[in-house]
Amino acid sequence: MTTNPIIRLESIKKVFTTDEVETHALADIHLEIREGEFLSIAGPSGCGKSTLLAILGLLDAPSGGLYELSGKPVARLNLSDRARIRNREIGFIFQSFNLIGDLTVFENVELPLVYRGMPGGERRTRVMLALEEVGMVHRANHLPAQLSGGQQQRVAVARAVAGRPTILLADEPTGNLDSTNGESVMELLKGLHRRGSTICMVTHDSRFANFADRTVQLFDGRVVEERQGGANGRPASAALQH
Amino acid sequence: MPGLLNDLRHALRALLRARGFATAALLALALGIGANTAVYSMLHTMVLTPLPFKDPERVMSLWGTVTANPGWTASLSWSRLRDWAARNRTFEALAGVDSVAMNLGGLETPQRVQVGAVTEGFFNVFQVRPVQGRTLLPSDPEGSPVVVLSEGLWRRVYGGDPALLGREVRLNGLSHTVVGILPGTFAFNGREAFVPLKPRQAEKERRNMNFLIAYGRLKAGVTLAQAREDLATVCQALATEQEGDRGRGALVRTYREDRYGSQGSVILLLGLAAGLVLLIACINVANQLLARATGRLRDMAVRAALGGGRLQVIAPSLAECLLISLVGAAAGLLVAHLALDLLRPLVPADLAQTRALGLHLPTLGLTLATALLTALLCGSAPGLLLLKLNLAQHLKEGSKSTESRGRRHLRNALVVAQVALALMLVSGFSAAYFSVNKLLAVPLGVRTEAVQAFSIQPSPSIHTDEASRLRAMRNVLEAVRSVPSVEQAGWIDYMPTLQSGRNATFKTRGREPLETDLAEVRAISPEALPVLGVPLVRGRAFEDADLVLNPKAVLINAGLADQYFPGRDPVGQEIGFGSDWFQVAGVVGDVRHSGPRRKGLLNTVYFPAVETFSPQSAWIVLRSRQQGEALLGPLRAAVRRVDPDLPVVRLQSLAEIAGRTVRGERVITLLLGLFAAIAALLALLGIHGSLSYSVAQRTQEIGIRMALGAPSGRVVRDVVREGLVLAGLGLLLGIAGAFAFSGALRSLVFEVNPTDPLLLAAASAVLLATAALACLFPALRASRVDPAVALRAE
Ligand SMILES: Nc1ncnc2c1ncn2[C@@H]1O[C@H](COP(=O)(O)OP(=O)(O)O)[C@@H](O)[C@H]1O
Ligand SMILES: [Mg+2]
Repeated sequence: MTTNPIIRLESIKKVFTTDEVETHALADIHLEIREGEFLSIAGPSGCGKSTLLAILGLLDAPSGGLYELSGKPVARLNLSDRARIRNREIGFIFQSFNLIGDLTVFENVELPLVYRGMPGGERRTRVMLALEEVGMVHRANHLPAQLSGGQQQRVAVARAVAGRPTILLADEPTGNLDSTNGESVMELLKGLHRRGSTICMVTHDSRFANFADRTVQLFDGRVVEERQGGANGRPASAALQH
Repeated sequence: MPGLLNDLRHALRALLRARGFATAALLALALGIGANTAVYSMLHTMVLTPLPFKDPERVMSLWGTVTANPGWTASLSWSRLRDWAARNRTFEALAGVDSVAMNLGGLETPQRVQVGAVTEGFFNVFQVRPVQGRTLLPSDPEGSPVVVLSEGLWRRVYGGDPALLGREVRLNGLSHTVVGILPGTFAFNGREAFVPLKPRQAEKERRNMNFLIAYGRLKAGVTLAQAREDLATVCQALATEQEGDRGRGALVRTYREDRYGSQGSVILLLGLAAGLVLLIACINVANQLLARATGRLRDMAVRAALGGGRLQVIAPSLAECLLISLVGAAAGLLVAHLALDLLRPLVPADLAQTRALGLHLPTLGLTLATALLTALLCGSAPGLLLLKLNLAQHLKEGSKSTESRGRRHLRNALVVAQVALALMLVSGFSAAYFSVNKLLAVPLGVRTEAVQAFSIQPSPSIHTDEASRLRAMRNVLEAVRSVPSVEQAGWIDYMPTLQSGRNATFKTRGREPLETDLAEVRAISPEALPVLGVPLVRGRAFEDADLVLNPKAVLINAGLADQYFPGRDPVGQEIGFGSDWFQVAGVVGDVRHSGPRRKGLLNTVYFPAVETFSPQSAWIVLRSRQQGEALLGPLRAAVRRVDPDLPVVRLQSLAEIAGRTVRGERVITLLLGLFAAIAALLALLGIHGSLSYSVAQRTQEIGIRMALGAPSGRVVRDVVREGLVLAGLGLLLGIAGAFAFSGALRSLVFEVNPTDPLLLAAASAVLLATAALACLFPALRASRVDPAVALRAE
């Protein structure tokens, strides 16, 4: 089965200028992510992983290069268009969960749907489905502070998938979790992938990189290595062979 | 102590680093403390100044009352005062004063002097120690030609000449020997000289010829209640003996209450307003400190973990507060100093003379106390935080301190309170503002532009009979007309808008006369009404032919004509005073004689000024191409040619005269406006600060929301909504507050309801707009949050 690249990066550059100092966070990145793929981005701290993810997620604009999302160029959109695309096409999972403390689990998951202007009834169904998927239905009315870290990250995952985005972007989703909780969150992502989600995950934990079909190794803002399968050479999932 | 100094030093360093906070807090406190200091000064002068005579609390004001007319007070007749003095058992002394203006002659420029013509006990009631010579004594016979002068007059007119004592001065053309000089602090009702009263025969005989303002000194140990009871008994006895005393009683009040009681409501209002401003300032600073303290929770937790006691833990915050309050108080003194110039017109002249309005020591003490209280109030905010400090949590948490729910509620509550208090002040100002506008809009009936006036009083001792006095006035008028820049001039016995004058009951043909058929009566020269711009509505104006010995023609105002001659042509109708009947020659416009407050009579009968109606003094009204000094010089010269002892008193424009009737209201409005503006500004800063803080606190959250696709318009809307909801709650609360505050306003405003829904709505709208403005920058900042922050670990 052939799949289309839903993300295509060509010669993406990112330069930060702070106090007259230029940091070349990304230099000449070429990358394609195909539908249904589970891609892992690895590399040492400060090599530009988060920057790349921010650009992929339209949280930030590249300093140069081409970015196509679902076939449309998105590198230079205005703020409100970017917000709209983020809302519909992208689901974020953060290292520090980033649940909103004042809102309940339900309301947190609901938030992207509210921004989308979805009617209440439909929202409710979607939220409950998403919570079911991560096994957090029983905590729907809790506040984030009442949950463990692992539970919070499950809720964050539910929030990311509730809107059925084109791609899930996860930045070190296990970075703030102990190994048991980390593994269970990774199992959750694996399950989503198995059911068809496209995932792009940043991690520097080689154990979890193995969950991916393909790993991109970054160093100093450049792709230095790209291989199929996890970081230790495990074969890629059969579904994605092409 | 070294600990405190150390804390203060650190606080100074911290404040110099946090310049934005320090400036805002300092500004808030300087304005708040300054406003209060100004009011303290007023309080100090107007309420706490000891009156300048011995045992002032024993000095009472005495008035006659009429049972049939509750609320009315009348001055006393000579014989009634004499009877009260003879029969009472509670007063050491009773005395009466007739206030008269006299011409002080024998000078380069003759002066009009306000004189108290007093009965023999006056200086037994007001026991003052003269700076030179003696006061008047009971042994000075009635009308004896002696005078005591005020120190002010002595210095102003005689340059403080020590040889004046024992010399003669000319008062109303008669020689009087100066027997004493009164101290400058004794400014009794603006009187500058005192002479023994010489009542005329009629004044002595007629039981209800009421012309004396009476005062009494209580015997030691006698209470006000006892004195009231005593005089009530005296009045009862007199009512059975004297026809004219039937149905009449006595009113006894302390002198202070009687003279300055009405100022109390002004001070109360301004004190309340200033207190509100300070409260807002305190809340404002407390909120800023709260935000600062949140940022320092970790430091505080560390201090506590290291074994610091509560006080040591909040010492840095307290020290900051103390420093800001003290510097704020110093700056507040400057604010107060400037504000005093505005307040000055509210202080009665005689009190200001006893103690000038200024920053006296007790005021400074109160200011210092206020500053300390302020520091305590503001500093308690971080103290509150400490009560709930969870050490383990704050030590564990990263470097960033987040705000708890409870703390945010407190912060929001403080913003709501600021808006509420600001609304009270803004609505108070609106009420005062509309009140002044209404006062100014009341048609006075005279033209105030380009009309000028001054007062003259031919000395009655020279011009002993009416004919001679009238001749003198006509001569003055002729002299005034001869001044080249004067286009038109006339005279009237009482100045319109400034004072009500004489009134009398009148009758019309075929109508049962009532006691309430009262009209102001005015004597005028034919030119007076045209100069004043009072229009002729019907009939004719006065002509020279009306200036005959027993004139028959009068003019009446339109209101009187409508009321008493409805459906008839008033011209030619007859109007009677006593047994004399007059014919209405013309109808003229209505004039508000006693100013715009709609008090006093509107109905007026104008007589031509001839011998039979010639007054003691008059206002020359004129239209001239010149004004001020350029006019005054030639006028003086012209009047001097007629009578070298006749002073030209207070040349002023009619606009000034009319403006003076609302001067107090204007000052109060200006002050309330300033207070309201400060309050609104502080509320604006409060909302702005709180929202900015909230946005800063929630940068991460806002970033997450934006990462999840929240449109930036929505982020802006959320912040604005937060601000407007707080403002809205504040306004609701403030409307309740405005009802409470209206009590202090009601007695001062004119035909305005301080809780009028429209007025409150307008004030709310102003503050809502202010709040929206305050939301603007925080909202923009929120919309500019970089959504990539969501990716940054905390
Ligand atoms: N907003 C920013 N401003 C300036 N420099 C930045 C910014 N974000 C990231 N950088 C710099 O870009 C480089 C890559 O950072 P990042 O993508 O966060 O690395 P990683 O996620 O791989 O640890 C680093 O050198 C970092 O300091
Ligand atoms: Mg990173």
